[in-house]
Amino acid sequence: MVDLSLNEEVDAFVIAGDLFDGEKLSFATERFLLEQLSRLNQAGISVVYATGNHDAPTRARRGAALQWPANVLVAAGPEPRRQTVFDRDGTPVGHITAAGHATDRESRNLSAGFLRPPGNDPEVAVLHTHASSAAGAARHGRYAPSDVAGMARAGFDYWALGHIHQREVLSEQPMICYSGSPQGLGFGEVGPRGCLVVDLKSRRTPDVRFCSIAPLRFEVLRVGGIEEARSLDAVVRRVVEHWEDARRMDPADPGAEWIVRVELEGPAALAHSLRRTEDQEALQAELQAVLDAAHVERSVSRTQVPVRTSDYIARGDVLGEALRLVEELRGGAEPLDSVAPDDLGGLDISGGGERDAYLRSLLQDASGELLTRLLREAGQP
Amino acid sequence: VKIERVRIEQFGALRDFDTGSDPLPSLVVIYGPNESGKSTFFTFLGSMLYGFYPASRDAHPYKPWTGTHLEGEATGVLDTGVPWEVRRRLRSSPWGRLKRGTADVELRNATLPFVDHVPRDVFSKVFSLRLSELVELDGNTWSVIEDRLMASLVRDDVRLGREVGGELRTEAQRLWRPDNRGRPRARELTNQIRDLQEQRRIAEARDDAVRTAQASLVESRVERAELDQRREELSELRRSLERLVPAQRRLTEFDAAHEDAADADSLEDLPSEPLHQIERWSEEEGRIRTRLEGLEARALRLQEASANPDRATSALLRDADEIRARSADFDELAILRARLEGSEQDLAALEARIDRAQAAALLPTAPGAGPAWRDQFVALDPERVRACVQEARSARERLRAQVAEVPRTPTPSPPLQPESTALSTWTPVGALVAGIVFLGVGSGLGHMAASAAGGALLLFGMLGLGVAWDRSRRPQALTVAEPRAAQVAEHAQSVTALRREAEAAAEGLASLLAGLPVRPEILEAEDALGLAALLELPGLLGERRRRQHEGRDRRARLDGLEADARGWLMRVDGQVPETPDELAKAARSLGGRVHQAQGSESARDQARRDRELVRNELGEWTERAQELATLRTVLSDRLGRLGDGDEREGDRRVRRMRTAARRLGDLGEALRRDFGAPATLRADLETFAAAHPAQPLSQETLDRTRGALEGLARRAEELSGRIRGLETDIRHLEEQPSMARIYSEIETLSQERDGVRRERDRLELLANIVELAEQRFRDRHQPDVVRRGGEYLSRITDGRYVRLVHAQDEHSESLLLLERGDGRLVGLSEALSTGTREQVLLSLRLAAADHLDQRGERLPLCVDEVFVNWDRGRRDRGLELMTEVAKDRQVFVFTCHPEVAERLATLGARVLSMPT
Repeated sequence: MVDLSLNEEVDAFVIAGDLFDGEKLSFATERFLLEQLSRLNQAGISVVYATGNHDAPTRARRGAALQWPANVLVAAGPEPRRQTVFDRDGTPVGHITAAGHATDRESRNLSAGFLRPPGNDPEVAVLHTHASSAAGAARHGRYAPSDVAGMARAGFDYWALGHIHQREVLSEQPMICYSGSPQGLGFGEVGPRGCLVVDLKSRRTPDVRFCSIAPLRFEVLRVGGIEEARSLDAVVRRVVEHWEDARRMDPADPGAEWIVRVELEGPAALAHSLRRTEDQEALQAELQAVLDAAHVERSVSRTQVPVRTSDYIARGDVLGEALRLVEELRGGAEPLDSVAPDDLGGLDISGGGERDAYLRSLLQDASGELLTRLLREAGQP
Repeated sequence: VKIERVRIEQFGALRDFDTGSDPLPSLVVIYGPNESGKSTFFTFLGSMLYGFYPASRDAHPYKPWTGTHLEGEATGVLDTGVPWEVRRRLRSSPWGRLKRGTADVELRNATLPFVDHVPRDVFSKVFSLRLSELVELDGNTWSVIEDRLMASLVRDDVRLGREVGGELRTEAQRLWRPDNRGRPRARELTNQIRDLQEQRRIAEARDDAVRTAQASLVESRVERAELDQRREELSELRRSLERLVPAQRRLTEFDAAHEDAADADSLEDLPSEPLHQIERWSEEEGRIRTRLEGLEARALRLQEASANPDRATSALLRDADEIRARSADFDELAILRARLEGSEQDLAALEARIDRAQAAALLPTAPGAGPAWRDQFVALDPERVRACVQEARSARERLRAQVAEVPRTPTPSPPLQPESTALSTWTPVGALVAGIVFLGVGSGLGHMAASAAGGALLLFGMLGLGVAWDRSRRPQALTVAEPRAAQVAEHAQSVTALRREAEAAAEGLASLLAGLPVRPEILEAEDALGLAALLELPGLLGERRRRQHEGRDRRARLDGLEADARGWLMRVDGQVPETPDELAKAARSLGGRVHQAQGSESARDQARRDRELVRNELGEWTERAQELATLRTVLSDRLGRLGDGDEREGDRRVRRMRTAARRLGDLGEALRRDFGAPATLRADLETFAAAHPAQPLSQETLDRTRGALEGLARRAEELSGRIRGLETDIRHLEEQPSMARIYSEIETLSQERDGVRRERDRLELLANIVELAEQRFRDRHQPDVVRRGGEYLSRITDGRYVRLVHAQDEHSESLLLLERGDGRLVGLSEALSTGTREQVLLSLRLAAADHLDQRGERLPLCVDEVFVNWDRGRRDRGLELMTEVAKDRQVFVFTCHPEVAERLATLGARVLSMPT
């Protein structure tokens, strides 16, 4: 991003929180960070950094104690701080207002404290916030909650938001954007990752351009259509076709590496075979060999024998009972607790809603799995 | 469903089998020995109801041995009384047709619609009871029975729920377990994460160490920078001190020297060693005085030497030029006289030569010849004479040669031999040559004897040649052969012509020499000396005439000059010498006196010049002496003043001042060379003092500064070592796994662990679903089955066991209990007889069949030899039970035991004997 900023000759560089995670700030990272910020300083680029819940001063004491370069304005509290931005000639070209999380449990609506001062220069607001209308809001902690309408009323020309890791434009008038995480952190953060370059020559219609810069890309490759694939080779070929199609649509940035999870799904002639560990390992080894990726994982749990659930759900046997039970569980006719494991290893249960949601998520593809498990494989005694 | 007639055209071993037109009753006994086709008959019934399975003739186990198709039909009525008829055939593909009531439908291989509430495989398992199935129950628990029972209630394509559930749970437990048993993947991951957490703590400690080291490094670098700055300052101070301390010292010396040499400039006019100079001047003055005395004495002598000469000498000096000029005349006189005498001697020698030549070339009468002859001789051209002589000689030679060529006879004649003579031809030639040589030598050297000898030899030679030539002309006594006449004539003519030529030549020569007394033999013979003398003689005569004239002229001139000289001597010296020798002597004497006078005059002139020089020198030296005296006095006075009256002290003071002045110069030069201009240096000193008010400009300060610098250098070295050590430590620390990497690995493993736990939860949930589904299935089927089974068991055991009870033990395992008539519950696993367990299972299977088709058509039940292990009472009750069952559904009892067939026949069954 620093290279990009220098190349683009931007006037300002904003960081909308979670620059680092608590005390997980190594000295090397710290040094690298300060070196890069110093490069911006040398180029005369202002840096405005608003703390988030992960790097709030109470949680990230190391970060709070950093000796920032002179060009860095750190907003680490709820009171908005305003920074005038100058171009290379020293002419003011706009202002940036930022507020930060003082603690890692900030519950106030910090956007309420933002108010555009009078003037005609572009005004930018920077905030680490949980915008309730954001698509990925449900997957993130509700810290410093805000709403788009409230932010829009504040009168700023552009809102640079952080917290939600998925890039999203919440509003175009005014422009309110989550840039998303610059680097995906796992398979939950797939797709191109990077930053937004915003041109505010036109205050009312800022030009927002996404630049993909993540050196490591996570990708979940869901591969269906393997109903007729009767060998692992055929499955691999199908995966490669999907991979090539995906890369044609979304080519990698030069130099970027891939971490890929291949999720086989849907009817599969080899559904039973794919449930066997040795076959899964063979498949993974083959995929690792043919995909140009740093690491490949596989998931076969969403495959199922190539039959329709409707053909079996009415049967009076155990399979029919199980399929009907799944539907009842999904529909709520049968309480999830009736089938919930006594101990849930994958969820730190804190409330019924989350637990039910978690259990309900486990029911995804349960019918196919049950069909595959319960239906006897041809030739199986 | 009731089957009333079965017709088998071809099915396994059965062919053209027909149960007959009489409708079969509800209880039918298929009687026949083993391998008689009972099972075939049962399979045929199933095929009629459900179609051929497999639907391929080739794969069908009951494919006829003949290889033909399978075919047959069955008719019957439904429970509602509707008749039906089905006919099926299996060739390359299955074919079937169903008539139900008035409906007639194509079946292909489909199941009859009124039996599809019980799947084929369920029908084959539940509605066909074989002894083997009951026998295998030996020792099995209710779970097995239950599984078998439940399994019998479902189709073959579905696995047992218990099995699948167990499988899912096993997989789940391989991933995660809430207890501490086993090594599930999640635990492995947790352990790895724990290890990584430990590594993280180490890495954090390492990171802290890096931070600490970095802080120390920064601190050390700052200290080092400050120290370097301090060192630089001190180095600058040291450099200033190193320059200014000695400079100041030198400047102090310079100033002191300047003070000492304050008036040294006023001494510039003084000599370098004034007192010594005074002494030198005194000494020089003394020497000058002595010299002046010598000069004065010399001047006196020179004055005497330069006195004027006497009168005679003055006269000589007056006439000195003339006398010197006349001396030349006297010299010329002597020369002229010597030349005259020489000419006379030469003339005498010439005369002698002439005499010798005349003697050789002329006749003896010649000496008395008159002057005309001599004039003629003088006018004679020697070359012409030589040519004429040569011509005459040539002509004679040719003549002689021609004469010698007289033609000869063929007989060789002896060679021509000259007549022997005492005097050979070569002798006069040698004399002629010697005469010429002697004559030349004597003439060249003026040696009369040689000339005479030469003349004599020349004459002898000429005479000898003449004699030889004469002889040669005379006829020789030759011995020759007579020539031939022509040749002789021709030869004679030639000789004659040549003779004429020789004579003409001789006449020419004679004409030329006509009147001259030339000896003829030198003309005719080979007389070289004579001829040479003849040829020389005109020259010699001419020369003698010329010299005679010349001698007369010289004599006349000499006489005139001597007369003039005598007159001059008379006039000058008053003496008249008579003879030339006296004249010369007088002249020489006069010259000597003039020379002497002139020498004396030169000495006087020199004395005058020397005297003038001496006078000048005397003046110079006198002036010098006075100058020295003045200088000495002045210098002495200056020294006296400088020495306060003491001349020596004054001298010492001058020396001191001069030494100070020189030292001042040296110091100044060294100062400028080493430290720059003094003014600049003074400014630097002032600047230093202003800049370092606390640092006196002294060696002590310099030493102290140097000491401080050494201390700082040691400290700098320590710091450098510490910095290097810290940098090395940091580098080593940073080479180890970083916090970020470990965090990343922990995060990766945590995500994997979350995924594993989630997968475990999913599998566990699916296992629960499967088990709950099976429980539901059991709950749906089991109570009725168990209840009905208990009723059947009570009938069979005649109240020994009144019912079956389903329960769960403390482990939630299903249990089947038998309640005896006395109310006691007996576990199935307790020691029951084989027959009792078979009776339990038969009861449950009958109950299951009742349960399965209770909502549809009752399907026929086939019982194959299940009663053989029963005691008689229970067998009878079992057979009676069949009669009871046959009231609701058609029952086919297969047996090979005639008593069974008979007993059932008595109970109303129709017995069909299978063909053997």
